[in-house]
Amino acid sequence: MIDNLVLGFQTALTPTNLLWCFVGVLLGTIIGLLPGLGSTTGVAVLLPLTLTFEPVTALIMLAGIYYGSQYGGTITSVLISTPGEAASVVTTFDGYQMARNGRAGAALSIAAIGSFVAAIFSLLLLVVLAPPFAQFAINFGPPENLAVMILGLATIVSFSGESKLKGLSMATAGILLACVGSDAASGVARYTFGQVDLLGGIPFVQVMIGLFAVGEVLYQIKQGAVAPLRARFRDLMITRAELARSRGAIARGSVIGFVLGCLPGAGSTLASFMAYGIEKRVSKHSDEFGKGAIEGVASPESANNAAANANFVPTLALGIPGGGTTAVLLGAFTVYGIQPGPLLFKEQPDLVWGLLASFFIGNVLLLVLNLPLAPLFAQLLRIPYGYMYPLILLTSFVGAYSIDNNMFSVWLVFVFGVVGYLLKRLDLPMAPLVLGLVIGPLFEKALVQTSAQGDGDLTFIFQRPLALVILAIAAALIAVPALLRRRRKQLERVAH
Amino acid sequence: MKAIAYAVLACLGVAVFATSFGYRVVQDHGQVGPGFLPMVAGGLLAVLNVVLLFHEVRHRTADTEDDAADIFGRTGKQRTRMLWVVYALTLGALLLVPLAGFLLSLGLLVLVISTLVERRPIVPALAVTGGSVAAIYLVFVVFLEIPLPT
Amino acid sequence: MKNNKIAIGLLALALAGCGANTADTADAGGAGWKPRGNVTMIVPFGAGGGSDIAGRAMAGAIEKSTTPKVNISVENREGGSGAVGYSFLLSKKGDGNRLLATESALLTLPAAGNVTFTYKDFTPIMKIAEDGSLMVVPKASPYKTCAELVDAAKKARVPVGVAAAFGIDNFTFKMIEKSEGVEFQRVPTESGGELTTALLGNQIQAALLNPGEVVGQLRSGDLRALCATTDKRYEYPELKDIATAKEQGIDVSYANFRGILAPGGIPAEAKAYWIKAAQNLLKSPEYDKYVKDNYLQPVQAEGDQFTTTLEQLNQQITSVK
Repeated sequence: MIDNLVLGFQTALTPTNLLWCFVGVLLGTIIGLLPGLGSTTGVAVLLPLTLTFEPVTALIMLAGIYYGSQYGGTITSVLISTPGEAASVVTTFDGYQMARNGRAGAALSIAAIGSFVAAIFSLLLLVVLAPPFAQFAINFGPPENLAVMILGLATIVSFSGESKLKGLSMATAGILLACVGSDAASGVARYTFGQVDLLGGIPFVQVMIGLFAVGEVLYQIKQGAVAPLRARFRDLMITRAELARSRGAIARGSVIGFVLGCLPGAGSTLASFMAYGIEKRVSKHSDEFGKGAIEGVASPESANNAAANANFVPTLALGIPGGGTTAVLLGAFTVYGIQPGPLLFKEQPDLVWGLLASFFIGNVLLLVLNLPLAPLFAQLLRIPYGYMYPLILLTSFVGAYSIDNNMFSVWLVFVFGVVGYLLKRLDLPMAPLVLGLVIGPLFEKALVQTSAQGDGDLTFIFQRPLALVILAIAAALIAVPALLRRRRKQLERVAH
Repeated sequence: MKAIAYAVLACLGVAVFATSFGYRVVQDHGQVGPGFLPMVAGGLLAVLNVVLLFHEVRHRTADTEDDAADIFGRTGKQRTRMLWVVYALTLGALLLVPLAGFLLSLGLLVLVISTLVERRPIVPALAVTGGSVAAIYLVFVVFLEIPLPT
Repeated sequence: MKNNKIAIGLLALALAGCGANTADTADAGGAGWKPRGNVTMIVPFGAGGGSDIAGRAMAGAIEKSTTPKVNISVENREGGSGAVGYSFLLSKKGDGNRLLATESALLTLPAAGNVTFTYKDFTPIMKIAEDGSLMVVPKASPYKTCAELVDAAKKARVPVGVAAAFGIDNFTFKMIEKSEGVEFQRVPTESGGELTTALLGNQIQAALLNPGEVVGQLRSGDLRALCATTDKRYEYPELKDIATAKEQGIDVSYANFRGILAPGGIPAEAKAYWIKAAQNLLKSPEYDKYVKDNYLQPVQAEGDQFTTTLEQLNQQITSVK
């Protein structure tokens, strides 16, 4: 183990690899910043640049783009409510509110710190326990995945503010949106009205840019201009009290992110949502959530970074993709003539350990890069909103176009912009809508597969102990708070 | 306002529920078909929003109209108009894309919003527009090779 | 040496994938027609899959082997098991600046009847390789041959995985079912990666996968191949011991193809130009590497010959739809 790590660091610390690791995380940060361009597209687009490199150098850089973009996506989420990555949607809930309270610097700092801690934690687990975790993960068949999706929906509904009904209604609407397009299992075109562009479904990223970025612009115009922030540089730094408050959130976020990230398919978006939901449940400041609670930034950011690293567990240990971006990276392995699979650790130790060691280095680089930049980026909020919002519109539309070079994406952003505005005006929660849209296809796939595996019998899920345990947790998540509330009321009545 | 939204969502749910049967809810061997999820979700959406609608009608909450003037002295009504002007301008810019190209149309949008809507001085507005369009050109067109429509 | 590499890398970065070196091949021209401006290679599937790898490899090899230089950007237009990408190409009738990385979805989508096009609506440029399938089972599976798997399906329902609604693996299963008079229980997934995961986790009993997708797991012994559904055995040393389905008494063979498709109604000169460019591609070292890395069979067919191949395959597919 130690020998392997030493070998890895020897590989990763050569000047060439160090340089490209840095280039990778820097490019990743930039790609994460741009709305629309996520890490999957980023890695695919920049892959050809690395063809002349040594395989290990190329993979170090591409992986750097991947986790670098997890850091970058945060910055725009916090500053202008424009998530650069799907996994940073949750960060807008409290991060953007913190920015509006003049705590943008603190939000960005805690995001960087949380991401760093989560990354190191998950990397250590990855290094020590990748094979057993991978074995555990493949036991997650369709019924278990179905149970995880139900758990995800339960968390989101349980945290959607005062009205659970509204939350459930929005989550359902999201799932319905996800039904548009060609059904994955049977190929039947649903609700496409003959439009070819709709065959591929309503893509999540475009909806997200519309709802959060454009919707927020319209909402802010309606709210009226406020004087730009005139905070002193010192005030933008994170305080000791804020750090102390975030400690638990980072720890919980890291664990949730790692576990969900190991499962092929669940991914970092679900992890960030669940971490936020659970944090809101357990936090002492749960009433501050949605109004700028620092835990609300720390936990999802830790979770999505831990999940991004955990995605490498099945990828490296078994040669199966853990998520969208690792699927592209697996393709990249082949391009460099490396066969991904269970023998990778044995046959290419310098490559695997070099790559793993570079993760440590890359995350240190990102922390060093992001901490001083956090207050600097926060200064961007001094730009008068009259200039800022036209620019947000500009980048949102260009970003949307760049996803698939298609004007259809631009129109989607336009339409969902006004939807986002209306939802905000009507006080209908957007988070469940987004999660419904993300989970919808995964949920349906798990549902169809479970019924196929049970040969038409959905009760098949009850024959799987692991699935039952997860379902029990989901049930507890919804029932326990309600029971606790009733108990408290009873106690109060007795006291009176 | 809210009541209308709930009614719209409820109708949508009913419509989806009704049409879902056209996509086969159950397939051979009793497997879940493509109509299953739309049926369940559509039905659920309809029921939830009918409940919300009833609740809303019974305990009508006043629409919050924030009429206080902002730092530029614009009233709530003026701001509502501004919001729709910006949205209409955006629509115009997007319709202009096939004729004038992507960057030109959207650059124009930035300039028009900042000068005419936000009443910013023309020179800095031009600088902001030029700078941002150039930056976007460099990142998206030159570096990422995205063929923006011209 | 190391500094050199950095310099090359930086150059590549500066040129943003424009490709610094152009090979000294002859003019790739059909009587003067040349693509004007940017050419796009459409990949009708997501990043990272077999089509994506093929599209990017072909685009790269054409860029490098054609003079004067052409710039080809790769575009993933995924959705609807490929329907989105093909329908997009359909709408670009007569546009010589568009290419598409094609495979069997070109035939299976129309066979399933959900799209408005057939292969006749496009201009086939070149079939560059064949990608056969292996019947793969988990390590602990009781089956040793495809014949045993088929026998088991005669007695009880055997759950097998298929990659996509209109995936060629689904059609190959249909061919086996028709030829042997059995029916498999289908568990639908969305990619070869998901199938591999399901096999490793014993969620399904068998699946058809391209060798490039599972060779790592086959070599480690975590998965086993029962037979190849190709016409002849593979010659790659890792695969040469795998018997064909035909050898095991199942008269089914089908190999997915990979190639280049252009929109319908393009000028004859444009077709000639791209065929010439594809010929250069086939001679490039990138092509050899692509074929070897992905365990493909270098079986090619050019222009109208490709059309004939498509006709034959189409008959095979429509006979089981």
